[in-house]
Amino acid sequence: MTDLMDFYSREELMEHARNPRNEGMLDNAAISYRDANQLCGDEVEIFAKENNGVISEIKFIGSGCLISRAASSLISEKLIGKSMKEVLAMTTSDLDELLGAVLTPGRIKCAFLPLAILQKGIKNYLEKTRKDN
Amino acid sequence: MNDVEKIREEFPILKSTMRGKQLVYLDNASTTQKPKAVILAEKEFYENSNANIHRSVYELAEKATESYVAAHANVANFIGADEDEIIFTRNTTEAINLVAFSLEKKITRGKKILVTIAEHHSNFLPWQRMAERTGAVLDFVGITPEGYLDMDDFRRKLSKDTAMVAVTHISNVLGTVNPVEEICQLAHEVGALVLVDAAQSAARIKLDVKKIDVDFLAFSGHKIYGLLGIGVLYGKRKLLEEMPPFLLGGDMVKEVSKERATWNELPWKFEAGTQNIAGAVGLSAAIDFLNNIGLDQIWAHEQELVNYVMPKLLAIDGIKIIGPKVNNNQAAKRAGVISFTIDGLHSHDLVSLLDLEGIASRGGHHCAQPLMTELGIKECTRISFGVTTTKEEIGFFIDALVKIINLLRKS
Repeated sequence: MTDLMDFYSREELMEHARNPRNEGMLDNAAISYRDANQLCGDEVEIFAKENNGVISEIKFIGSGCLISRAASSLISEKLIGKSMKEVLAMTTSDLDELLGAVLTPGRIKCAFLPLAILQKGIKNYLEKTRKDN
Repeated sequence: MNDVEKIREEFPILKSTMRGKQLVYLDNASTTQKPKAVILAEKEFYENSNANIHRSVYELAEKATESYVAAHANVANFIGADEDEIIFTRNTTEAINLVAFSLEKKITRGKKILVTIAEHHSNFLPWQRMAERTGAVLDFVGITPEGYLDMDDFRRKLSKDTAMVAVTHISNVLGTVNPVEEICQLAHEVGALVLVDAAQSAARIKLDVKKIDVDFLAFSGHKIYGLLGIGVLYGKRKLLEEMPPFLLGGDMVKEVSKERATWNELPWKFEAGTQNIAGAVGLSAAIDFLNNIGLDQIWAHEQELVNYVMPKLLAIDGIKIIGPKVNNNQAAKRAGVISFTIDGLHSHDLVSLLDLEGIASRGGHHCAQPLMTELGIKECTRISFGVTTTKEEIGFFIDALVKIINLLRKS
C-alpha cells in the first residue's frame, strides 16, 4: 500500500476533507490571501488573525480536492498558537508530518496550497505593517 | 483494427508497471507513447548520421540534411501539402505563436479575431495577445448544449470584419470533431484566414489540407507517436511568402549586411537556428508507423472504443459526460477523448486513485479554462485512447473507477 492510499483510507483525514473545520469567511481578518492551484485551477482563500505575532484564528473558503480540503482544515486547527515566524518557516516535510502521510510529488502541491497561501498572506501582512510603522 | 496486440508489441513502455501495477495508458491526448521504430530512428540518427544540416558539405552532413529534407517531404505527403509549405517548430504551441506573430501586420484595429470557446490555451492566448496589440476584437464561438461547436453562432459572428478564425479540429476536452472544411469555406467567403489546431486530430483522422482548404494547420510530433520537441506548421505558400519570419538567426537568411537582411526560401525562412533534426527523423518514422496501420483503421478502432466505453460510463451514478454522450451523430463525430465529472468528487482524487491501479488518466482544467468557465466547472477527469488501447484496458478502467467512487463515497 502506498502512502497515497494511506491518505485516502485514513478516516481522520477523510473526515477533515468531508467536514472541514473553520470553513468560511473571517470578518476583519488582518491576514487574507487568495490563490489558485496551477494543477487544477482550484482557488483557496485563507483568512487569519494574529495576536502579538501568534496566529489566533484561521478560516478558509474555496473548493478543492480531498487532499487540499483536508490540509486546509488541518492547518486551520493545528497552526493556532504558532508564531507567524514558525508558520513562515514550514516546508513540505512539516506538512507530511501534519498530515501523517507522505504524498506523491504530483499531489504535494494540493496539500501545500493552503499553507503556501497562508504564508503569502502573512508575508503581505508583515510587509504592510512594517510600512505603516 | 484487428491487430492491436501486435501493435502493442511495438511499444516497449507498455510492458512497464506503474505503482507496481501493469501500466494502463489512457492519456494519449497529453502525449502518445513511442513505438520501437521511432525510438530506433532517433538512436540510428545519432549513431550514424549526426551532423549539422544545410551548410556543411561533408558526407555526414549531407546524410543529415537528406534525412531532414526527407522528413519535410514525408510530413507534406501525410497531410496533402507541398514540401516547402511544411515548417518544423518545437510543437503546436510554437507553430500557432509563429502565425499569430507573423500575421500581426495584417490585422488592423477594429478587425475581428474569431476563436471557439473550446480552444486549448495554446490556440487562444496567442490570439488574445494579437487582439491586445492590434486593437482587433476577440470574439468567441460557443458550443451547443450537447457539446458540439455551435455553427449557427459561428455564422452569426462571422462578418466582413473577421480577419482571422482559429479553431481546434478535435477538442482536447469535449472530444468533438469540428467541421473544419465548412468553417474554412464560410470564413473564406468573408475573406478571413483560418488556422486549425490539429494537435488531437493528426493521429486520428486523415488530414488533407488542400481539401480542407485551410490556411494554416498545426500539430505536434509527440501526440502522433513521434518524439517530444518537434512540431509542424503547414501554411499556404502564398501566405507564408508574404509573412515576415518569426525567429531570426542562422539558416533563415539569404544575405546579411550591417544594415539589413534578405530571407531564405520557404520553408527555411521560418526555421531559424539549428533544428531538432533527430526529432524530424523520429517524426518521419512515426508517420510511417501511422501510414502502415492506416488512419482509416485507426479512426474505426477509436469509434469502436468510444461506442464500447460510453454506455459503461453513462451507467455510473453521478457521472456527467463533458461533450456529446453518444456516438451516433455522423455529421459531427466524437473522438476517443472523453472527459467527465463525478458528483461531489474531484478529478485529482480520482486520478490519484486510478494511478494506484496503474491507470494513467488526467485531471484538472486541461489547459482550457475559458471552456471550464463556460461549462460552470473548475476541472474534470479525462481518458483518451490511442492505437494501443484495448477493450480489456477500458473494462479494467471502468471497474477501477467504480471501486474508487465507492471507496470515496463510503466513508
